[in-house]
Amino acid sequence: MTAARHRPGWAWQAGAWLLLALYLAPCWYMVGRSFLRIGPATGGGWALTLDHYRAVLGGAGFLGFVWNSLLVLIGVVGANVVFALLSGYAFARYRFPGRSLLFTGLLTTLMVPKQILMIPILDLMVRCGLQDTLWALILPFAVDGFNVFLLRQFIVALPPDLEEAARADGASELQVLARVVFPLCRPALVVVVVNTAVVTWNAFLFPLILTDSEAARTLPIGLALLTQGPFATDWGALMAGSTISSLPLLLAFWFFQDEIIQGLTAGAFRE
Amino acid sequence: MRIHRWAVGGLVALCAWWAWLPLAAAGAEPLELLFWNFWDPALVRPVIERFEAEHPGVRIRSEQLPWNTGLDKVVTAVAAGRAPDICELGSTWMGRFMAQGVLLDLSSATAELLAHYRLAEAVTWEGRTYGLPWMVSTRVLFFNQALFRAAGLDPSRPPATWDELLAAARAIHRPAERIYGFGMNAGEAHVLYKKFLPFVWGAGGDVLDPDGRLVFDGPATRDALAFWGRLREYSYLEKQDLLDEAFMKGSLGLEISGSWNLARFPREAPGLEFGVARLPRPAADRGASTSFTGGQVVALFKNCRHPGLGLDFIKFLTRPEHTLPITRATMVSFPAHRGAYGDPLFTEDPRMQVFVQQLETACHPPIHPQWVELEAIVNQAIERVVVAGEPAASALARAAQAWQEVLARARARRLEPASGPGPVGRPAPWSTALLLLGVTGLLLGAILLAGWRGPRGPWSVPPARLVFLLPWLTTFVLFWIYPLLFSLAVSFTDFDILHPEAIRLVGAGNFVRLWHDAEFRRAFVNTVRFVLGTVPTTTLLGLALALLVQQVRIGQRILRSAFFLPSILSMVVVATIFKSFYAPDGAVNAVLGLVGLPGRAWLVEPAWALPAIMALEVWATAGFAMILFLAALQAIPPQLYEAAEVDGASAWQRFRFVTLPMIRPMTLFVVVVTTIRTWQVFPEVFTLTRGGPLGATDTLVHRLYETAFRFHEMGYASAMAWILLLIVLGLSLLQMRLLGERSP
Repeated sequence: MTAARHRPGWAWQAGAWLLLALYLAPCWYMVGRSFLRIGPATGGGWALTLDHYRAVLGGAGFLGFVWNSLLVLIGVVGANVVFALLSGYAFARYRFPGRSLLFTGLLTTLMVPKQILMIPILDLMVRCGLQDTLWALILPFAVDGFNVFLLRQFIVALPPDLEEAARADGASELQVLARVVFPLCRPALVVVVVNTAVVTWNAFLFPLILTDSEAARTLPIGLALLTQGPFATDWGALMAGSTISSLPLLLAFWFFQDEIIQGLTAGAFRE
Repeated sequence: MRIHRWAVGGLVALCAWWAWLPLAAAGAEPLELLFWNFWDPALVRPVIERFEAEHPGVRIRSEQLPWNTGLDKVVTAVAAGRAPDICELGSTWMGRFMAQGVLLDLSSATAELLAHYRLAEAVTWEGRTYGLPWMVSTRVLFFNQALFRAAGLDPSRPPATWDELLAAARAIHRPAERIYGFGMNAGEAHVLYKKFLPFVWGAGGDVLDPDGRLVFDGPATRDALAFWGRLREYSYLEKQDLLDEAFMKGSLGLEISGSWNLARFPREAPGLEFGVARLPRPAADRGASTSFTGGQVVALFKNCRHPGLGLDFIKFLTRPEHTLPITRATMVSFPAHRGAYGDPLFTEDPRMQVFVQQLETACHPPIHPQWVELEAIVNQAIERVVVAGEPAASALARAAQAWQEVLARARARRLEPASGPGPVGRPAPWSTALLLLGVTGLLLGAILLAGWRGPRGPWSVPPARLVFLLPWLTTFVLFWIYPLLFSLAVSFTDFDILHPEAIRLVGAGNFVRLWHDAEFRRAFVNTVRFVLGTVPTTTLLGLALALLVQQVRIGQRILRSAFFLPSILSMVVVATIFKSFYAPDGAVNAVLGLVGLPGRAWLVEPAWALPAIMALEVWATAGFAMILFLAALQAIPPQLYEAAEVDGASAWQRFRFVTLPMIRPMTLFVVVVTTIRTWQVFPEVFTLTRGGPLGATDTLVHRLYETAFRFHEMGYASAMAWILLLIVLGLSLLQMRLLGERSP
């Protein structure tokens, strides 16, 4: 690390913190606005308040929305880790007829706007009786093509010697995958987890279309409904809700950031 | 062994987790009706409870929809055969819904009732009735009395004519002091025409004449456009919510707005002295004071399970005693039932009286199946003249031509009301799913069979191992291949999602139209600009942040998390925050003002709207790139730097010849990820500009979404999707070559 050898000048330190303060201005605004009341009691000025948080946390069904979002998050992230590893491995290591055709198909899915698929997918979910259940928010997103692509690229670059050694020792294919490939793939899996978690946690359009009832509502839609006025959004409550909804991912990142960075570094990221 | 057990344990836990997730709700009660509406459940629930008390054994299940995406939700539900029994619909959408025969004809039961309601025209189509009006609203002129006084105007005498309005705006307008004369809507879909059309109607014009012919390009519109052109010089151009904010802060002299402000202004700005007045007429001796009116109606879809009960419910719901509490609580709109207007709420408050009087002369835009298209055309013509300064004659001629094209297409699509039982029905469960699962199995079997040429064939492993691919392959077939084939089939038809039985083959018609479609071309150019503008910037900023954070030793954890923070925020939230930053008196202009640069209306000026959204995108995604670069930087062996230093390399040379080559793979990865993301840019456009101003921020996915869900032209949208797909396919093949499709 360069930083280990060069004395970190105070200029660097100060510069970084100053830049951070400016860079995060929109976030300051979000948090600040969530604690401010602009209203009659303040004579047009402002005052600190927790009312917005009370309004959101006390909103009908709020905890249920958080719970649903968590269920979907765990389902989608878990499925993507397992399935992307399996499929990525198969694409990288097995040779079979039709492989390049399938892989081209996979690459294509990365760049097709999902909006065009909304109606057929909704139709499918209705026919399976899964519309308006959390399954409808998990199954279509259980194996994201991007994650398979990522794992495939990563595994292709790994030396196959270790796997062959394990096979020579009599390990089954699943054992090779779990004991040899899985640990080596940690960096790529970290990207899979972070990326999938952020996208799933914030998803709006598909959950809106695929669920109706409060029992299956996720956090982004719940927040939009709680803070909506027909002509003016309740800004304070919206900002409070946004602050609350960004906390879980931020805390997760804060606690696991060393693992994430180490994980990314572990295999020296190759494409 | 340890890891293996962990992996198996994890899999088992995951399966258990899934099995535990709640499946579909149990069967519906015998007399249950599903009611979709837009209101706070606390307002609707009491009425439902009273209705259920009067009708034992009946249950009304109410589900709330979001205002700005509710129409899309209703349309997709109808298309999938999942329309609710009872639905609240915006009055301007009714032309389409009624003409396409998805609503239940209630004529016989509501014929004499309708006289008691305002907005009866919104539920009437070709002499038949398809619902009951629920709430209505109108717009009046709000004026700030303190600013009137300061400008030497009489605060008790609001402008009654166009000239007086112009004079008042001119007297108040002092932009240097952040005081503006008039609040003019701009850069926002669905709102502009509501403020502008009253001037056309007041001058004796209209959009369509009684026979349905376009008269929007007539002299009244030209007068109104000329007047707005003059008024613009003393105006603050922004979106409605920001205009209301500005008025509340006391920096706006006049604006046209709705009754919700009667509750909001006293609550949030108690010191604000304001009055309301009817909209001005063209001149004291000419024209009339009129305004826009619209509202919500309740209708039954054709698949309504208990029509008699549904009808009882909508009659119950729209009664004055059940609508007045909604008005009192929200002040957003008034009861549609005329019986409510004797209430003290209306008779005792002089400001409410202004609204009630205005309601008497207010006009509803034409009820027409193609109103959604016409609305877009009208809005664009107004923006062309007022914002972009195009001559009225050419803008109106273009509008007339665009309308002719819309009509021609509609005629070709034979959009007449369907007779007989509607297209709306609930499909048989499982049939398609089983079919598709079968297809997946066949596909896999075919691959296996085709490839099975004994142990020395093209296989490197026993075919049974392909089971590893099965989860991905299943979702690939179910959620990509099937929908894509569906859309391929549809792209050769004029499939209208509200009118599926009128589907017609048009051959390559959609693709030919695409080739000539200037709006599609513009969206393509905008998207390419967006990708080219954001990808290098995000990559460079991510790298710069990573290099900076790496230098910092105290608090590096905090810095890392903090710079990453924007990446975990939802794009909708980010867009909402930036909306206020980009306001004319928002943070961006304030900072520019500090260094002496002139401010701008970032999202209203066509030249600046797209770059403004690009900046937002870069801000929101650079943190993710930073984390990836940090990982790549930490993986560089320190010996390389030491060796370079021994060789006398300068800091720049170390960066150029050690750092850059070592992070090249990660750079490529960041570029690919960012390209994929920005190519599909949508939520920020949808939240901030809806493609405006004048199409400057209309991107491919946004265009596709609008075509499919606002104009319901699924066939045309599918053709767009397939053209995109072919482009993408080319790019993917290129990418594969670039990233090296190495054989294992």
